[in-house]
Amino acid sequence: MFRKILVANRGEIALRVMRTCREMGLATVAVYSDVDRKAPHVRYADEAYAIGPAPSTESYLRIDRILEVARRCHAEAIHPGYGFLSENVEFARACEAAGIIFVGPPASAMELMGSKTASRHAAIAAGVPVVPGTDRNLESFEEIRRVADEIGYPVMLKASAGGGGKGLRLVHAAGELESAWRNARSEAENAFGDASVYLEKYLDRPRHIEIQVLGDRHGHLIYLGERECSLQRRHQKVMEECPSPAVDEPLRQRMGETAVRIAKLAGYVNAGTVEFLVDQNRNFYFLEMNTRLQVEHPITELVVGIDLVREQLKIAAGEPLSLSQEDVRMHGAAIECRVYAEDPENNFFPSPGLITRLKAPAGPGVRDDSGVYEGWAVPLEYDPLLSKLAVWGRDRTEAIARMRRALEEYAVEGIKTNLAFFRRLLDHPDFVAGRLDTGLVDRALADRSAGADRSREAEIAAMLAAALHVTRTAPKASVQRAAMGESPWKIAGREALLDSWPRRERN
Amino acid sequence: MKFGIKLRVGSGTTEHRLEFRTGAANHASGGQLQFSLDGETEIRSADWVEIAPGAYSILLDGRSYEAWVSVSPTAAGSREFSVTVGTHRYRVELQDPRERRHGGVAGAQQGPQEILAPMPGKIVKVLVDENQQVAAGEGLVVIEAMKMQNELRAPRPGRVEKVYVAAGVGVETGTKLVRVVS
Repeated sequence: MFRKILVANRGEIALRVMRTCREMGLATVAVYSDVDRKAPHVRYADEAYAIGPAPSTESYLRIDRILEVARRCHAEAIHPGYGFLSENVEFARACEAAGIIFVGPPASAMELMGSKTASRHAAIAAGVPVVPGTDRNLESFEEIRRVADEIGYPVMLKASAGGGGKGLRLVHAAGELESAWRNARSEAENAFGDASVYLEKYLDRPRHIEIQVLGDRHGHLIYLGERECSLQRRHQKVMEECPSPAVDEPLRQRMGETAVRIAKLAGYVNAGTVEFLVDQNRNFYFLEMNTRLQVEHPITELVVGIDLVREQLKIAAGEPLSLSQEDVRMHGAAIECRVYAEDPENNFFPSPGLITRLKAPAGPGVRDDSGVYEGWAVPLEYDPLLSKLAVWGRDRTEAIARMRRALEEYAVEGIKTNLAFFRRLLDHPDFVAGRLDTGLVDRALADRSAGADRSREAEIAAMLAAALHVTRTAPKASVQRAAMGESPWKIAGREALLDSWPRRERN
Repeated sequence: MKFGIKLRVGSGTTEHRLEFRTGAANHASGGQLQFSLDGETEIRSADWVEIAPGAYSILLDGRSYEAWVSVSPTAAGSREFSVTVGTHRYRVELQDPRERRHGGVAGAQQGPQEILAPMPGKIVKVLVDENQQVAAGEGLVVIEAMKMQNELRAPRPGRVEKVYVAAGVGVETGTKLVRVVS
């Protein structure tokens, strides 16, 4: 087992990874940009080194600077977290070349699965069901149109080189196809430097269900259940749960074994996630594979009873998996909300700024993976994720009640957050019934029937507090007036008149 | 002490009159208070204690509320507070009748409101003209920032007195965009 590890990331994931490292007795090294000098991961780490100005392209994405720090401080391994360089083949290769252990899959597996079209192609070759569509990039509009006609509308145009909702266009009819194709290509070019797009059939109200896989360097590969990630806004996940209300044991086994088959094909090692779309008839189709630890990994950890980062580190050090497929048990239910610095009242516009008050929930079954603290100024250069709030309960009903309780306790002032949005979503009848699909969030947002729940007593408390505050913090006006030369007797007389109680002549 | 109060929660505003006094047994950061709301003859009691600067635990007939008060960053000279009770946020604007009498600083509950850019970005479109009447929630300016376009809206109804920017202009955090007079 190595002794010192550099975490090439920031925010909540950097802190989360470092916590497990500390439990395992590993020395931790943080890297930070100019605006992150006071960030929690910098304060927590054993060592910390500056790597450049705020923009990611000049700091957290600088392979050269990160490797330089690793060499300088003799870090033997690098954990890339998620996002940033975690799925960057060049970075994985550069670590290999520098003799530094990259905590993740081999660069070759990353490369194969990182390309959406290549991975689809591989899956088809393996007899794994895929969402009907093309398995190669389509260069000309005529090709696109022909394939769309073959598959049948509606279709989804997707950027081959990336994700995160960019370069995606849903096309309902042939007339929209040309402009959608142009827009998707230009967005993909801007976001990933690669305009390639391909086409897939758009499934009706699909569920997005993914399988966690884990593989060691000795050829053992297992699956650790599924996560339901259908609650998305603009194709980005906002809330996840484990297990999926739509998955029974036989389906879990079929999907899990399929995921393992795909991972084996890719020569996959370490933690990864295979994503599927599941239609209303419970047919599942391979979507893509994420060759990294995912944001929502805590819910799997809570339900399976495992520390995935710990497993990642052991695998990277060459140790065999600590459990076999037969050992994997799922117990209870977990839900996670991604708490973001954004304003739901204003179209979820990012809300960077100073956090003046932060009180995170605690108590039984509550886990808050936070990357911020009271007094921290959320920078605008990065993803505005504040924390991941996860809860565990003995069943889904208990987990929902617990999440409601935790969301009520969560207090953040100084910036706007999406907490109020989650509180509403938790009450939506489709959510409570487990009727989840990728359109639910938009429907919940459109359905803004519930107004502010007005408790008269709470309003009174608010008014009393403001009145108390003003009378206690303002200097006594009479003292000021006396200082200006008014007769103290006159002042006292006025005070007595104004403060007299009660004034029944008021109407 | 007496106050006229404008209470805002969500998009609704109600007006109230509050009369209250703190009792003789009070110490600096807690005690009993008595109050009457909206001219009602019933006088109620509340137990209050300060738990942190600007934060009060208030017991109303035994029911426990925690209120966090912060000064609202709108207009200087107005006594407008943002008060969070539980998961709800209220805007409480206070007017002390004594200030009116002595011609002191009047609470600027109406008056000009400068709409500022919340972060660096570029103006995509200006949606209003000077002298245009706007409703609460009506769009004023579209800004592009952090790779997203966003519409900034009028917080309350009024008249657009001044437009400071035009499409294509770059702005910093705090740059004045529009002045709305209520």
